[in-house]
Amino acid sequence: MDELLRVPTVYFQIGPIVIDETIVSLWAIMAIMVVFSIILTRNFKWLPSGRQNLIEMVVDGIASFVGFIMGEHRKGFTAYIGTIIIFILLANLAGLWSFGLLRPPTADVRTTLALGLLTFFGINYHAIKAKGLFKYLRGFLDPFPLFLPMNIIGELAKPVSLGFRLFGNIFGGLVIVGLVYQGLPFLVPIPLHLYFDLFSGLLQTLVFSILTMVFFSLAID
Amino acid sequence: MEYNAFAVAAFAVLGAGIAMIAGLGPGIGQGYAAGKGTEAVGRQPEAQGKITLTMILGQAVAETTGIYALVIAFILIGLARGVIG
Repeated sequence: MDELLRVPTVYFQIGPIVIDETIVSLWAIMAIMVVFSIILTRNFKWLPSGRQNLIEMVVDGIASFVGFIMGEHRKGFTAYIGTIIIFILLANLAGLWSFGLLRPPTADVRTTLALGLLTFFGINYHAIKAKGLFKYLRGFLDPFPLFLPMNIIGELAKPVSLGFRLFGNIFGGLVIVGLVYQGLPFLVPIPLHLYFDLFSGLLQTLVFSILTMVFFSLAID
Repeated sequence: MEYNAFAVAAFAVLGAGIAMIAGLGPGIGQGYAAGKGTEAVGRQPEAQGKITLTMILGQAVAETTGIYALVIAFILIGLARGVIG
């Protein structure tokens, strides 16, 4: 049980800065994202071929996905949503592409709550930008002033439920697969990896990005 | 009354198990949403993309209570581990 529900292993500690498994996984993902975005987007030609075709296909796919949910006139969110999608996808599948070396950083509350906070600040920034500060604050009194505490709690619950949804799904999958590995370590866990890592990871990426887009759309309208 | 660390840990773990009964709710809710989604696709196959997205969104929101239960279960297990040491 200790092995399953463990907190991420701490590698070393410098004063208040703790370097543990989550941080190292995040560094790996950051390195991959930065290096690949530099390498893959160099020397773009007017007439695309090979590698550029692939990149344009991915960007176009994400753009049409964003347009489908937020409306064609808000395709400008593609950059942000695309980054979020690629990051969460890499994070959820970290155990898969590193052949089990890395622990998924999204199986740690700190990562997912940080992502939830990003969405939270995004919502409020876009709401204030679109409506103006006064109209934004008055929105908390809808439909009548008695609803003020309800609206505030509802707003604060968004990042918490977003963060814990991602964390709960990924960490839950990790624990269940770990349990099966202890009981039946032969052949049985393979299809479970397919469901808990691949399917669940993809679905939660989708859910997080869709919810972020819906919240942004609602904040702007 | 004497403080018994093992009783506290045992009840905390028991409570974690009981908390997960909340898994019933999201299960029923998500199944209902999936059933209705299938019905809608059967009636209007051309709107499948929109229906699937709406269904997944609704299911994600229905899942929230189950996730809260999971968080409480983790907190209780953490408490049990903390008490036993």
